[in-house]
Amino acid sequence: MKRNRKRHVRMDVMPKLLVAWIVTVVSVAIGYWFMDSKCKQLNQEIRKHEMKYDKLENTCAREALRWDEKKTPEKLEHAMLQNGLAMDYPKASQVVRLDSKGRMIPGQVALARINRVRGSVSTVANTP
Amino acid sequence: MQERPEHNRVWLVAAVLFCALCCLAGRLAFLHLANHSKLNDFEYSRQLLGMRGRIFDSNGTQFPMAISLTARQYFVDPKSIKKTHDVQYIIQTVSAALKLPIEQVTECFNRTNSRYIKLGEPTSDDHAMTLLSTNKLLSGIGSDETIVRSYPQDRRMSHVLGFVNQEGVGSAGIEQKYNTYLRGIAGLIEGEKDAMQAEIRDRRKIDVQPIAGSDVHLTLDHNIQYEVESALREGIEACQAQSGWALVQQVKTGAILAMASFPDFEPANYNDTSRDVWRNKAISENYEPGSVMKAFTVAAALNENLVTPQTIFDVGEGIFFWAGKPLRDHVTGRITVSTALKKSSNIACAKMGILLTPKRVETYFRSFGFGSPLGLGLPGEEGGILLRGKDWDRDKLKITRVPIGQGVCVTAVQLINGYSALANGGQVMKPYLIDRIVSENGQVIMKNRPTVLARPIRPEVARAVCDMLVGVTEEGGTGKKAGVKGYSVAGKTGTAQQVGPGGYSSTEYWASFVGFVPASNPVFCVLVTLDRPDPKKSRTGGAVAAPVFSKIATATARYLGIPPDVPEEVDIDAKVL
Repeated sequence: MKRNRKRHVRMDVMPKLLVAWIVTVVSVAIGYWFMDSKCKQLNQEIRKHEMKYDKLENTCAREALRWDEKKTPEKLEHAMLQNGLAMDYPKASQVVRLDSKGRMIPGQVALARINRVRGSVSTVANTP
Repeated sequence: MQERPEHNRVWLVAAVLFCALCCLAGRLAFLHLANHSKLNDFEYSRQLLGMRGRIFDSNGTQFPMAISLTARQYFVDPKSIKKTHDVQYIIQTVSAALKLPIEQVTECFNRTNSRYIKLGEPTSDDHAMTLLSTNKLLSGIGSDETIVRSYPQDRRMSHVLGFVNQEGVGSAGIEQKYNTYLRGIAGLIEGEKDAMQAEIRDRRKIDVQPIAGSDVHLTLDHNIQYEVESALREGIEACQAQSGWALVQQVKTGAILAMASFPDFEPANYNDTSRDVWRNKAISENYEPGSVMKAFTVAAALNENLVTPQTIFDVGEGIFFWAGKPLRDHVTGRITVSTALKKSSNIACAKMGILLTPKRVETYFRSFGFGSPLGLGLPGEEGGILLRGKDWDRDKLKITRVPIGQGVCVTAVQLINGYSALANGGQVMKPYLIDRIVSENGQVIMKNRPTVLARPIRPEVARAVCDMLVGVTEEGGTGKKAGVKGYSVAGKTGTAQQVGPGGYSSTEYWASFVGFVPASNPVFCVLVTLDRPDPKKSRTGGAVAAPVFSKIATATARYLGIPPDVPEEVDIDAKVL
């Protein structure tokens, strides 16, 4: 009987509707607080990433500029000279020009040399 | 009926909770309805810089000629230096970080008339920025984010690119003309900040991202430009000229491949040079071209069927009187039109001018693009000076002077464009140096296409003039030094006296050479003009400008991969197949 009486008391403390309302409000509040803190945390992360992105973008631009400054014609020329390299355009006899279909354009000095080399190779190959 | 104590406790808790809720509601009402002046202190606002568009050469995005970077402008506020901090230490640290002379920094710190004293130029040095932002022993130092314009190739194309002033506005060259396209649009962030002055990201109310400016792609090639600038500088130093300019133009399209003017300047430090140096003389200098104009006179006379290349002119003993004034010539006797051009005869060309009549000379010259700006698309472009209608009647002498390039002023770009027309079968193309403008999202906003402006002469006439111009660079011609190994060259020398107080100067000249390569199938045209070469040395176009032309044309022809049209060296026993 004692146990039944206790249960009865509990039921009478507050109306069921009020309890339900309080539970709902508290749940919503906790949910809201949890989501709010989560949003804040995410926002802070976004902000950090934004700042990091800006910084990396700037660093990338500066590095690109540094690279652009290094590949100017005079810098390349200077670097080659420092390493004892000298470049010149090829002679006409060293250039083979091809048309858009990849065929050799006739009338070139270099073709004579190629044909001569081919001729000598084939002669050697045919020698018994 | 007596209430149970459990009931009282529950109602007590409920009452407390209710009171707490009321308090919160009251606070909420206060925050919404009360004075917000205190809250304003937490307002956060930041302008996002809209990056200026880049400028590229014709090789695409691999070779930027101008780019923008974010940087920090450091400043000192002497009044906010903490008393506990050592000022000397701050000065030394700032001086070392920003690489500024210690005296300059000390002077900034000693000034009391301002709370914003700039410390040198904006810097994008990571090391300096880290050093100044993390050192807790520094105070009174602040910084603003700003944009700096950088030119990776220093002086290259300086006159074409122009520069951006300290407010970030283009003030010369492409930077000025296309400022509307190049400038970016700033963005804005507004919201709230915390006690550490940092933005509270989730309280952001306005977030408008910046829009970067459009990229400008030029028709100029930085490799050709390098060759042109090097050759021009060497040429100017060799003859000790005061200044000079050179251009390379594609014959078929009118696209400018290189444009150089000397002396030049560093666009990033434009204030280090005088204003006169900023002027792009290749488009803004009106000058008397001299004998280079004879090619257009001959072309006009041929087109009107007044002469043929074999027509003979008698230049007598090298002196010809017209309107009571003598015209002297270094050529004597009877010469053909072809020889007149090859040897640059003044009298023969003056007589051709007389045959043509002033009206036709003016019409042809205007059709070739002289006398008005060509609309290249750069600020400061001049149009030259060419007599109009009745002006010819007032001065009867002009008809013997204008056809030989005196009494007429042109710009370098007009002259090269005219020669390109001769090389292009008589079609005058509109010169241009902007290939396209591309927006941040890759959309092509503007694209230049080759445009025909006029067809003043027939193709066969143009071909005949080209053949005659080849003679100029051959044995006996005035421009022999303009020869290019492996290629036929057509061109013309020009040596014009400059006008000074009291008439034409006997010591100051314009020395020019303009021609195209290869003469058999022209691809590009080159113009070189040197201003006031040292009179003690050679001063003719053939002696000082032609070698510069040769260097530029040789490098350009090889760079563009143009097949040689003259057998260079027949090697060993190999025969051309």
